[in-house]
Amino acid sequence: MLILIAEDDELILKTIEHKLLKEGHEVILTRNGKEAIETLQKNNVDLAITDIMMPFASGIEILSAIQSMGKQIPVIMLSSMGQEEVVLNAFDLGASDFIVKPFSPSELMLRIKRYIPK
Amino acid sequence: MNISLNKTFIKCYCKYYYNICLFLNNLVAIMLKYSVPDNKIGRLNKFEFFDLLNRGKDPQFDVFAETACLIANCPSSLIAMIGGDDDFKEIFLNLLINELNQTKNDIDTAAAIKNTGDAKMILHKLKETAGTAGLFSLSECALKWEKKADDNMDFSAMKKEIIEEITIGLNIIKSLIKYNQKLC
Repeated sequence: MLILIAEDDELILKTIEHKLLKEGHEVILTRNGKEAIETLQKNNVDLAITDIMMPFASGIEILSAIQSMGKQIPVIMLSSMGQEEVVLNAFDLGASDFIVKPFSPSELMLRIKRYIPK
Repeated sequence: MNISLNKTFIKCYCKYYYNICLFLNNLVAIMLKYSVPDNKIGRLNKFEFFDLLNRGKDPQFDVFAETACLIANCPSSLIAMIGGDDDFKEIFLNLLINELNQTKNDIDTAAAIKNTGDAKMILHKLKETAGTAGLFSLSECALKWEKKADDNMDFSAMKKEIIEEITIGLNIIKSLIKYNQKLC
């Protein structure tokens, strides 16, 4: 699967990348919302994992952009404690799942497995 | 015994112990004394077998985990993030040092020009980075200042407190790296 990660925290970004590469996925890393939206326009991504609060464009704006592009991409949101309202808004905009930081990478991998075509 | 009272007591005791350890600057010596057992992989496998790794938060387990982490001075999240992946451990720890050093500079700049927006964004990110690495005291400190971040914020107090906590975090991580290198 080709998976896009949008996360401005280098530590989280690299940890997820490492785990996904180990599982045999292809990964595109983006460090802000604008870069993520541009990458989504140019590539046929199978799954997106995105932080909510990022520079230039938020995870919510990424969801809106995916909707406007007419793409059907499952999106897993990485949220912080206290962002429950934003998460609900994200579900309204088509988010597939969310995970609260700090999270266990293994738990994220299990959630990703749900989107791997059988 | 009342678990929450017990937990509060252990937290207070552990924080006290933790600071003493840092001031004594003998973390490496302590960790070398209690070196990693030869059967480390077997122990990790056993944890996996009993489904004790990557569990959700459990207050009863937390009491033991926090005590063990503070005695060994090793953030609990490190094992959750890295697991038995030794190769990734070094990358993760070095990345963490870079991130914390960068944040120190960013906080310094945001405080100098009293930029509330930037400060809020930096503190939010720091809260997550520290939480991911198990530096909970730093994470809580960043959260506290993120909530206080407005135009009337005391930038100088924020900078002082955050930089102090980052320095403590950096010392822990550097000690862990030293410890790993001595083992190799």
